[in-house]
Amino acid sequence: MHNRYSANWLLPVAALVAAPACATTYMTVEQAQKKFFPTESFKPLSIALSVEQSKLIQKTSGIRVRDLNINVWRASAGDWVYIDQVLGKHEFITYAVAVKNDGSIQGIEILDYRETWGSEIRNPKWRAQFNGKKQGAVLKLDVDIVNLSGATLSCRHITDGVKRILATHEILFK
Amino acid sequence: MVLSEFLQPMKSYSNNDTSSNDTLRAQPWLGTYVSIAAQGKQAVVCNAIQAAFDAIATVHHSMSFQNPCSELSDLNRLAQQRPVRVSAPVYRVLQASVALAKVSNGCFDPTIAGRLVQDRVLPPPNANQIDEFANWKDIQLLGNRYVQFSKPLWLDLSGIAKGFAVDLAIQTLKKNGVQAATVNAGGDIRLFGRQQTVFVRNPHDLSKQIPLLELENGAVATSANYFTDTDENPCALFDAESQRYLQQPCSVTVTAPRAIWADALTKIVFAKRERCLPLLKRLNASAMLINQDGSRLQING
Repeated sequence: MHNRYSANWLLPVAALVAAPACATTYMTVEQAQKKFFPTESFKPLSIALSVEQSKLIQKTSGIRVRDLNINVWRASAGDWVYIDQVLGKHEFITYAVAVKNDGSIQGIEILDYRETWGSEIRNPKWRAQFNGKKQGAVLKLDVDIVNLSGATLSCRHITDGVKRILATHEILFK
Repeated sequence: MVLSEFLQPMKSYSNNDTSSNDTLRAQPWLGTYVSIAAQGKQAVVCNAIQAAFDAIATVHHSMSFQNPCSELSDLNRLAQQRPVRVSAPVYRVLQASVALAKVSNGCFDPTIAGRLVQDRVLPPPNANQIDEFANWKDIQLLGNRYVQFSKPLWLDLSGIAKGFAVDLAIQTLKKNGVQAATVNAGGDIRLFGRQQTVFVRNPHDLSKQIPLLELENGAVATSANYFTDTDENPCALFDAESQRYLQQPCSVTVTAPRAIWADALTKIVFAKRERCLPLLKRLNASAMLINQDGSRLQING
């Protein structure tokens, strides 16, 4: 049973009972730090960019700086973890960028991905409409981005954000 | 956009018992967001997920049209002059692309990049000029992983490479001891060891999702032209057979055992609708079109 491909189209539900969009938390900041640099300890630095610095970052990266506050952790062996937010299609995406002490990128992890929330999802009546739609199965509501298919969304804002972080790192710590 | 909204505590929602102990990870690859949910012991699963992301990264680096250092860019520069040897994954994706071009009578064609560049859907690559009459028939797979073009052309494998990457990620997860997992690369989904409901966006109201498919041990992909309003996501759905872009707003979802076929078939179904039934049958696939007014067309292969 566990290897066989099976696919069953579901019956249409009335237009008004479509599921709202979703939010998924992938990792916490601590999990990301541990994943990137498992043996190191982390110290948060609270940094506010000056207007001049932000202009310089904007100039070198070509990306707009929308927040002067930088969330960065310094690891005990000299590595760095930045936490940043960029706008996705509608909502902010939180992600972590690990920068090694030589200035190269160790990895990128999405921490939190959100899309517009509807209030319907918390309404039991709304949820009940999905019950028994398919013979022999109760349709489970699992609104994660993981099982949402659709036109491909560009991740350009993350790519831009990483460029901005690298320029920021260069200016702050080089 | 209310700024305070993202300062609030993070929320997530899932009441599916079968996946409640999933480990979830997401990274940006292949120009989109790739997420992996896998079930099993935390240490095993974390390593397996990273191995799967590493596999996806390999596909990203070798098959990117935009990156001038990718193997694909080497091909676009050199294969019109002489045979070029490529890696096994690139050769496999090329074989799949040519096979699909052949059975779809050129409706799926990995050489339409020239047209997409001309229309500013893709950025111009750092490569030679192309012959506007070149098509998939000019890709010569010479065996032993050698490739040559009989006319100057630009290959773009973005869609089919995404499906291939998802298949590769699934294999990697299995090999690394994961019992059940779901991989989603920008809407190309494949899962194993579990049954899940797959949702698609409502083409009529993109903030909403429709539960569309109960899927077990298989793949599903959706192509739609509803995010094509911005420069960032221009419409890349082009029918090479009729030489036109597919503009009518609808979404096409295809399910098949493997993601590589599901993704590529969405483009063919978009263009050919019912006429692709024999092809769907051949690949053990089936398709669902949702029009903007909510009406549906199901094509069971």
